[in-house]
Amino acid sequence: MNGLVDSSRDKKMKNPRFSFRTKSDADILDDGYRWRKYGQKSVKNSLYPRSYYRCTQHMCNVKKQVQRLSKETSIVETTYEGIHNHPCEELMQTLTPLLHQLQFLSKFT
Amino acid sequence: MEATSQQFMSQSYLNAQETTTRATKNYLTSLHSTRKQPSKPLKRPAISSPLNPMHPHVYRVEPVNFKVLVQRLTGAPEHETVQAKPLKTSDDAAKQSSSSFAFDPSSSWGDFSFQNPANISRW
Repeated sequence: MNGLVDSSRDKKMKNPRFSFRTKSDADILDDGYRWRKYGQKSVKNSLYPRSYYRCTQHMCNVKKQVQRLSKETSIVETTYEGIHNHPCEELMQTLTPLLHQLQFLSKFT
Repeated sequence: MEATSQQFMSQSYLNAQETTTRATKNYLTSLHSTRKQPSKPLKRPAISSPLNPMHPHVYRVEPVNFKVLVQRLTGAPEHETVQAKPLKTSDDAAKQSSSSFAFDPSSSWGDFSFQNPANISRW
């Protein structure tokens, strides 16, 4: 039992966390990745709830939490946990037509 | 005189016997007793490290720079990103047809290092 606790602590310690505070009217800021909301939680002494998101890419364990600050309501705090193991969606969207063209051209060479 | 000394002797003997029986009783009870675990587990001191998950590094970002900074910090490293393999050109095809044996460095066995038999260790 104790071993499990230790391993989970180690896992948490390994995942780097970055927090970004941005002045924005919209809660969800575009970061180039696709996210799936998996939870929401009301926070003590805060009017705004905290939303939990997970990266939609298969085998990518990156999570993010989004919450508007109660003291400064114009600021949205986005906390990321982990590092993506794939390129961002926008990059792939721009690359896929190019790759298709290259594959098509390779038939003639 | 003798009577008093005998009385003291018997008294001390009884006291000694009582203490020995008490000791054996305590020993026997300790054998049969079960050790109770503490109700609450001992709390370990919190590990203070630069990557403490409870206190992430906070960045104040403008909405314009948000995407760039997020991708720089949480994005996949450059070597892990998907890269398109270079396509074979007509020049490469001509080279391959001209030579009977074309050594392709991108092939699976191309990076195999040929070892000197003297260097290979025996099992």
